[in-house]
Amino acid sequence: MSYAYLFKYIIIGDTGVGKSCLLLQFTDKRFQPVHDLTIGVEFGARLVTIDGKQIKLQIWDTAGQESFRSITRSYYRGAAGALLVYDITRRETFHHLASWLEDAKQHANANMTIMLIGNKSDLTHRRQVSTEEGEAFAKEHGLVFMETSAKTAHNVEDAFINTARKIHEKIESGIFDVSNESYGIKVGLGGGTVRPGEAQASAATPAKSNCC
Amino acid sequence: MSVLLPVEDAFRLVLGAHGAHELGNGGVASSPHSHSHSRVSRASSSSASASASASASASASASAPAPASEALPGAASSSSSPASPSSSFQSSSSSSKDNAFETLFARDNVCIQLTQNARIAGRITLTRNAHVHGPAFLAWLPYNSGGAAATSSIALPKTTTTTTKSANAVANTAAGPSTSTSTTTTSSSSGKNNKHMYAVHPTCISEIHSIHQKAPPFRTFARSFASITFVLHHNHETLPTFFFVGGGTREMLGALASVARLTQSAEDPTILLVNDLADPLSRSLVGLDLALTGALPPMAHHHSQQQHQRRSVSSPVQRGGGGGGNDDLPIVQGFTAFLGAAAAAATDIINDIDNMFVSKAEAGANATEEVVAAAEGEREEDAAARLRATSSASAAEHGDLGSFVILKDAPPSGDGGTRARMVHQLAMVHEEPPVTARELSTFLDEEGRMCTPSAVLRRVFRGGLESSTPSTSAPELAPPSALQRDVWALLLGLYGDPQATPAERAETLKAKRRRYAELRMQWSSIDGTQARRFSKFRERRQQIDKDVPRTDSAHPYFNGYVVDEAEVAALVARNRRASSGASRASRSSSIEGGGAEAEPIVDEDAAPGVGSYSHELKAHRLDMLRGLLLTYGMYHFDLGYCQGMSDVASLLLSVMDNEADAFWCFVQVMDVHGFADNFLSDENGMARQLASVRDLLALADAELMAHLESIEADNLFFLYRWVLLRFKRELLLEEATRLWEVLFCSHESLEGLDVGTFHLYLAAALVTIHRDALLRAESLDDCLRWANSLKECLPLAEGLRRAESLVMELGTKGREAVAPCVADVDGGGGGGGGVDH
Repeated sequence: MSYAYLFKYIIIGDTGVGKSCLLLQFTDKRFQPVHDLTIGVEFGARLVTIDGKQIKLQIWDTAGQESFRSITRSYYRGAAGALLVYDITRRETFHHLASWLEDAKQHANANMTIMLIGNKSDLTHRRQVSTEEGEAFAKEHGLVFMETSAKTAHNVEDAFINTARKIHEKIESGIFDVSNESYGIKVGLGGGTVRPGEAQASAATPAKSNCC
Repeated sequence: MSVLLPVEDAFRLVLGAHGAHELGNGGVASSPHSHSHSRVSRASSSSASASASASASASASASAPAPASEALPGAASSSSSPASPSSSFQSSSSSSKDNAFETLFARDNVCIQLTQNARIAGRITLTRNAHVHGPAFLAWLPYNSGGAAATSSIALPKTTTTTTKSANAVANTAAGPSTSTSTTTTSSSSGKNNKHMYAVHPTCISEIHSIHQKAPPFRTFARSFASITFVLHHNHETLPTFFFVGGGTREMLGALASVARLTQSAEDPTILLVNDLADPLSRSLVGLDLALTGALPPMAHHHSQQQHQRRSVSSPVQRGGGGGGNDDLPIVQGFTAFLGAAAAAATDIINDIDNMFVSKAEAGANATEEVVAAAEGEREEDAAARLRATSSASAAEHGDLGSFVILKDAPPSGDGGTRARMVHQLAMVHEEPPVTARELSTFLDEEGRMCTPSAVLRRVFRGGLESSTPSTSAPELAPPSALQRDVWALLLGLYGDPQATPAERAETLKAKRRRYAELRMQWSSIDGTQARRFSKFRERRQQIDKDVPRTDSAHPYFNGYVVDEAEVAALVARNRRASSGASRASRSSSIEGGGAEAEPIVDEDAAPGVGSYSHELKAHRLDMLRGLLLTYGMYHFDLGYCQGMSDVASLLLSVMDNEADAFWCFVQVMDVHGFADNFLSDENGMARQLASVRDLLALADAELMAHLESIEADNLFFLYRWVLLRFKRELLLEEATRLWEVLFCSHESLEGLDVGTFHLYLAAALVTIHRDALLRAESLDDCLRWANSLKECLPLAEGLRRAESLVMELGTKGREAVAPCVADVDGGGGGGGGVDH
């Protein structure tokens, strides 16, 4: 499958907030009420189209438990985007966001796009964290914010695609050097449907494709 | 205390009605009798049905057990009496098709002679791995005087008539033919005499050099029946001479001829030389071996020359890669020519050769390695696997990945394809036929002590355990067998000292269950008020409650799959009790509710059928898992609970099917087998183990290790899950169970191996098997994706073989690399010792 870019994503957050379910909803468009707990890391991938370009999202779904932190940290390297997930029905998962952010700052590249996700928005009757609180936290730390439901698929598609759009914007504006893979971006062989006007992207493509 | 219900059941299973009765009086568990009783019938049902079929054919009643030995002179009955007992053992010795081992031949009333006046009757069998056309195995087991009881359990007390004390020449010659196949246990460490020690444990046909027949002349017993003596390659040792009291030598030889090539010796017509026909390569190698010993018959010599020819032609094809069938034609023809003598079997043989050749070419292993491997009779399974591999389009993708290649094509999970694959793979893991309950009983002396536990471990390591029910199509639906539970209990120290008597074992088990009940009370008695002031406990419980339903959630066991009538009866009984409200209060809290009152039992659950799924049973099993983990959190409070533990516990629970027993197995696995290290909060245990694998790899494949270093993947983080859960997540639960069985036995089976380290060799072995893929990796990310791509398709059999050779090759260096840190066994008071620790 040809694509213009490949973005590496990482999904982080406390255990049980629904990271694996978000991934499953996004890649398979289904919800599995009971999903075996993640040990180590799992992978998912999907092609999306941004501005007429085919972009492959390679998504790393990590384990949330504290005792796996040191290994989780090794996954940050080379991630272009991160979904930082908390559970709106469990306040403690919201409280732990700061420490997740700290980890991300230390171990990820500085330009990683982070999307804050308040998951389980369908469980309104059990909500412990208001939408406003989520928005405020995102604003304070310069994150994009969304509430999702892996169960109903509400906003799931948008969460992943908006993150991709953000990253793509950064490429377009020249923030990323796409030939440097530590940014979590690979230029695909096919180049997708690159329009003539997009000088930067098309200029980068042939440069990289030689060595792929 | 309803959670403790099955405790009594298993106990009863193990100990017979007497032991369970004691427990009932002990008051640890109060269980409805119907439940326990039906479980017992489950255990014995297989033997019952087997005896029915046996009595039809053997024309003798199964009720009278044979004396273990007989005084021969003047014993008129001696020639006819042993006809009956076999029937009660048939269930265990012949119903092994679920384990892929088919019985090619079985004959009762085959005796070995101890002294001039004493002999032991038993049953001789010839079995073969049906799935992979593996080598055939010859075994002989003496009858148990315990009669039907012998099939049920290792813990049963034995009341055996004592055999003649002096072990004579027969016993001496019965010493193991080689280290790879443990044969008769001649050492009687307890100093007690025991006919079981004469058992001939499965011996591969390829180990047999020749067969000496003796026709029956006159008079003395030794000469009054036709006999067969098997001479082994190894030092030309012999197995004990088998006297076919009821006849059947001709049939035996006929069966042997179907799996091996028998040729009459030129010098002595009563001697038949054996070559393994199932595997032309190893047969030829037998010839080579003969050449070395100077006893080479003309035909065999011929073979070996052909063999060399074949090898020299084969190398260009190897380089051709992929292994298209056409390239092999000339070689096959060459083979056909020399096989003129065996024209009748030619077609099959050509197929075999073809298969073997194609697969070997693809394997790309060097000839020397093959010679060694084939001589050990280990490669047939691979051959079959690789044959299948060649038919798949993606076979070449990863080069010489062996069985990995085919498995990769298998559907990911949950359907028939996976099951077929799994059965196939399970069959491949073991080199020897599985241990049956009957064989296991031969390791016990007359008092029921297990004199040589390490010999049992070695047999389990090589052969695994026979499954309880023939359910080839869906092994995940098979109930854990009584045999498996017994052996795991033994492996994991549940019975305490294996050399104890059954009564002592029963006492140990009883004490452990009582102790478990106490430990469990430590958390189950925490009420809401106390919990509010006990945040550490609350957090732990919350995490466990969250993780328990997320553990093996797709597995039938944890979905309340009803295995048999016994469980139906148990459910009905429990429902009746629950609806009467008598024990409602004592029922532990439900999984989801976290301390809430148990959900009311719904009517449709009242009588679920066998093969259906019961909500009640599901809740009960999840409740056991939860209880086990919470109790461990109290037992080892500092370690507490960590994700991954539920995976370890679920496997143990699915085998033991009993919360208390699984708990003590869990403790043993954590403390003795080193799992506790994996969960240290500083992650040092994992770091140390990954460093061990790195050191092993540096020794075994320096080039690969250098590459991993160059791409900054030498932390081996990509092997994290392999090591953390010892491949459990990479395999289906049944496969993982078999693998763990092997791992738990490994330190007794491989010289110089420390307990709890074999999985590190296995990890290193699997990495070297896939070195090509890893040499192509450009980053740690690539390695991680590679490791994840192997999920549920690890080449386990090949990996284990490679791991074993790594243990041998690396010797002390390897041992230093994996040197375990001293396990943190604080407060292990009730843990009990390992089998031999």
